[in-house]
Amino acid sequence: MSNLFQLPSKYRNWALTLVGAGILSTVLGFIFSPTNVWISLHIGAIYFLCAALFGAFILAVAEVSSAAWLAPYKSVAECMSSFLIPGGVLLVLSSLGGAHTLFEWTHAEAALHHPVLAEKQAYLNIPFFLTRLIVFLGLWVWLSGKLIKASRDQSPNRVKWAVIFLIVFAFTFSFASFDWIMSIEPHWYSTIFALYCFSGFFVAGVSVLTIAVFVLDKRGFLSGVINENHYHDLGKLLFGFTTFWAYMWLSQYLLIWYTNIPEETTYYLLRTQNDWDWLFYFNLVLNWIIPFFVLMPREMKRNREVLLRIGICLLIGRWLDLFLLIAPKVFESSKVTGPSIGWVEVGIGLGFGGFFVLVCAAALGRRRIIQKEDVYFEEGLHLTQ
Amino acid sequence: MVRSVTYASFSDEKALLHAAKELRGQGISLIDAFTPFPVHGLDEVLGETRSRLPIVCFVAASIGCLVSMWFQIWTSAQDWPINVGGKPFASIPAFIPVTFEVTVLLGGLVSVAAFFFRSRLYPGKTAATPNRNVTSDGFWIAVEHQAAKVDAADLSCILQELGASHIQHEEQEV
Repeated sequence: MSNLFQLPSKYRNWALTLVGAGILSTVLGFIFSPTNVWISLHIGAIYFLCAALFGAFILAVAEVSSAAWLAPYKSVAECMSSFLIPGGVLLVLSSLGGAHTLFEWTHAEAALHHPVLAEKQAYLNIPFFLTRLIVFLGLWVWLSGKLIKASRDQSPNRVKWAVIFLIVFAFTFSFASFDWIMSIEPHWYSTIFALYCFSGFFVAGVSVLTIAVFVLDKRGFLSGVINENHYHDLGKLLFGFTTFWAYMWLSQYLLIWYTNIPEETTYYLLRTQNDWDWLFYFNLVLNWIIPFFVLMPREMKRNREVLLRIGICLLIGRWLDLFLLIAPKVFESSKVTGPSIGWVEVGIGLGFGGFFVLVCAAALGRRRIIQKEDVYFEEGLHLTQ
Repeated sequence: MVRSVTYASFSDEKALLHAAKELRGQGISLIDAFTPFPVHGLDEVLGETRSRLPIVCFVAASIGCLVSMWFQIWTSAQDWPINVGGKPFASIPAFIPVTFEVTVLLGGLVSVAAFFFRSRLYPGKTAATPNRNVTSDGFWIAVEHQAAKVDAADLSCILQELGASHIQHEEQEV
């Protein structure tokens, strides 16, 4: 089998159809319910930008920790990060175009008359917001490019670039989660918020990586390179980090529930009333209870079919998690009570997915999937548990 | 009964794994291997079946989870209800940290206890390791002659070909 990947035309047509459905949903959605469209665009952009960022992130983690487990399929992680630029552009468009719908602090009258928002104006204003957005995206694109090139050439600098990437990532990702998600509720704050977002970012990233590896393996592009021991590693990451996500979820919930301060409880009050509570608890089921009990036995973590299904479950869970982070407040500001999920959400979400697949598949087609020159390749090939 | 055992040391874990695989291929089974750190894949080469300890751990942890949850609900909602900050008596979120800790504690302690019981280990037991060399930083394997169906001289030759640096024969009381 030739070593260059090409998206089979069947999948290509599917992905193009999804992109078409996404564009159609956006256009029609603007006529019927623009609020839903802005929410979905914002979720979609953050969702897939995070997946792209995870590609570079896990590569950096592997380089820093001299990990061999990623080496046989590190090109998959590299290709994920090729969505950084398209995802970044879409995020700029969604957060600028939807600024007035999504962010209460952009309303001049609200910002001036409310003491909390007036205080926060030094940080939460459109020019500074946009500057940070561009700087974060620029840093990620630049550093991930440097890291991937260094890793590809096996340059002695690759650990240096990985360390720089991770340090910059820690700060930029925290501020990005404050800016893009937490500032939707500018009166509310949570100091664990960035970590919570990071745990979701990690779980969704491993899910995308696992599904991509599964598809490539099934089509024979990774045959002879990976076996169930490699899946076992991915399964362990999924198992561990879904529990980490649940830990972060509870840490935030428990403290706010216990202290019962009105400024803090508004966040959970909004999400446990008016039919939101079903989604609120279903989020825990999708993101923790199902993967925790399914992935607990060793044989499940080594079964790629199981990992595919859990990966899909977690990707749906990640979307729901982001929806619960972003949508309730925006709906409330637009005088919509209760959750509203319909064809706009599904269409735009799938459209983003199709676009992500097209971009990453094209990036995968431009490089060799198996990179034997990596110093850890041989060790990664003979991975045992 | 006396059994004769040969100990052989190797330079690193790769040489040890290779030698163990070769010996198994020749029908010579190993009694044990001694390494200064856990070596991936060694269990399979030694022909060990998978440990059943995870089952013990799961059962113990489940009991810990249920009992601690029940106990907290019983103490704070049933036996002696106390109003804490106007919260419901049976406030599940407040019980989660304790439930988690007891789950982990019982799972861990029972696993260790089950391991000690199954391996017939107890504090103060005389070490069963007869050769003191294997407890140092070397990578050692132990082969029993009877199981190997070869005599000491042949076994030494085979081991030397596989790259063993030290070879010691020993007669042990069993």
